[in-house]
Amino acid sequence: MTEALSLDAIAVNFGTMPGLADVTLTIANGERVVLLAPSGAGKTTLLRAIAGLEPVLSGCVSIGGRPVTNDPPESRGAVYLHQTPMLFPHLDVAANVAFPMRLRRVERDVTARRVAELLASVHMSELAGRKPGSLSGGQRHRVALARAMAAGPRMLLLDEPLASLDPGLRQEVRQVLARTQLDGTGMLIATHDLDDAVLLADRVAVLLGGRIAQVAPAAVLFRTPATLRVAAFLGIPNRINGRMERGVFHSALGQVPVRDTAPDGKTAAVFAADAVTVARSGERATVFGEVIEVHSHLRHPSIIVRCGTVALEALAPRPVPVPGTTVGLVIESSVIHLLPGGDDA
Amino acid sequence: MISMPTVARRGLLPILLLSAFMPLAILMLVSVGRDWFFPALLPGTIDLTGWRTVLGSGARLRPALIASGVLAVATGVAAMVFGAFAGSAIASARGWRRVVGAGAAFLPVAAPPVAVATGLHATLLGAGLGSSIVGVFIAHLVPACGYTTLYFLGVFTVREGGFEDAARTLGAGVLDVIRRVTIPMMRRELLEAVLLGAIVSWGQVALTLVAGGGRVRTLPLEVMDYLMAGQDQLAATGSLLLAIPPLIAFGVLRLALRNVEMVLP
Repeated sequence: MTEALSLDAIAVNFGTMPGLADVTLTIANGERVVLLAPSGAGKTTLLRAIAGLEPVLSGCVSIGGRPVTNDPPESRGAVYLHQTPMLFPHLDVAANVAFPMRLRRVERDVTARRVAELLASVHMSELAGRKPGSLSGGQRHRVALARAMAAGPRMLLLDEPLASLDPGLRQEVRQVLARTQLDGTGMLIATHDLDDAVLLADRVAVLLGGRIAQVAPAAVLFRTPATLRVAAFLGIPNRINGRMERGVFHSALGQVPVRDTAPDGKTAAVFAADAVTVARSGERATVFGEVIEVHSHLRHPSIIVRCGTVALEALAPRPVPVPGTTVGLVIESSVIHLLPGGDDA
Repeated sequence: MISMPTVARRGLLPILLLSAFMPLAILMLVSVGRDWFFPALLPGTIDLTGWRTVLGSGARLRPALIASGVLAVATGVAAMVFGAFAGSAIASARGWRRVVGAGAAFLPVAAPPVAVATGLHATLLGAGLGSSIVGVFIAHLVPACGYTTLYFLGVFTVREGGFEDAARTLGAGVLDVIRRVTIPMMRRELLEAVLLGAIVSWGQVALTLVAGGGRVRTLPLEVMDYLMAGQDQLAATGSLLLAIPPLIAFGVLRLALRNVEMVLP
């Protein structure tokens, strides 16, 4: 079975500056992949290069199993959706959705039927005759998505589709993206938002330093980041530097029980805040420390506990301990991830 | 107490209106009046001899009016096409290319028409286009293209190419993008550029005189002749004929495009 997208070691410049190098990625038919990267890392450049809107210096782009590296954008089979839905203001909603089919001279009744189907799928049937200027931001995104699907692409490339939307619209557009029937079309969504990645992706590709640093399902990615750089970008708060010696991890916290394995030598242990809980009475604590800070997150408050030279973030118990309180922490050994190399990995 | 900006608004607007309409009003009165001597506020007698003379059958302003109209429309359309491509190219250029491009577009606008005309004269003569309407058309294009290029440079500098990119990946080739997206979306800017180029051509004297060698007669040249000959009533009538068409074109354009906004994403 062919892939919707295959990038083989492609390199793309940022204008005249060196940018992306050796980017390799495959997306299966019908798969949603989120391209997760900090701002300025080259997400837009990569999407535009796949779409044929930026030149690829080297490597190969294949869409639907067909090499398209040197093909013009209109014959690649990839639709690029800008962060702002670029609906043509001189056309009404239905004509916008019909645009790709008109280009291909599809018969009028076939076009009309398909446009009606697509507008129904994004709940926009009743606004078919409206001009884009009279639509809300969320409605525009929905029409842009319907228009993209009308082109029958092998790949949909969405550039920060949820950026600059208020929380209500964000949720609306997120649901539309999650419910879109891909029918074999691959979807690559660029974002810097971790929540979007978790909620939308079958797999997440992390783009750092001009390369794909890791590709994995979101749950795997957050539990087992490939490098300390990936872990830091994902916001995994806990990191303990130490050494592996004959299968045992030694650190400033002493001998920390871990189930993961790593070769002997310099090693870092990384784990999320929800891997660390405050020991209840009678429960055996892994380490003891003093609460130095309370983070009042909306859903899950957390505490920062100083354990000697190491600060750990843990889920806050109820009631939340005040700074200065000494607590025992239990670290879930099964979710500690070891990264060989420690500091420089 | 009235603040300074309010005073300025209230005081400057009448001055602006007066400076725009007073000359036209005076021209109107001179074109239909006789025996108008200081300190009379209005002409002593009203007659339409001037209008009959310049527009009647066999009047010399008729062919000049047609020549001016043809030149203006042709120059406006050609300058719009040139300016759109040149402005777009300069707007997308970076570094020294952008500076040189903008400078090249600005040069014919900044240079005095006589200097431009003198520079063109030898070239047109060499090309066998001296004293021909084609030569005058080419001469008019020089400043008109400068204006339209500068106009489109501004338009394309603030306009994103996102619509065109979207159309390309939806399956539109380059020509389809121009026909189905760029032209319909930019019809306001395109028509304004045609009007700008036409107005530049419509009012040309020096370029027409030098490139046309006095044989291509346009409305401004005829008006100049009337002025030199001291025929004030005919000069005023001709001047009104010069002033009115651009105002009508501007008004029609405004009405036609009243619901069309400049498109920004």
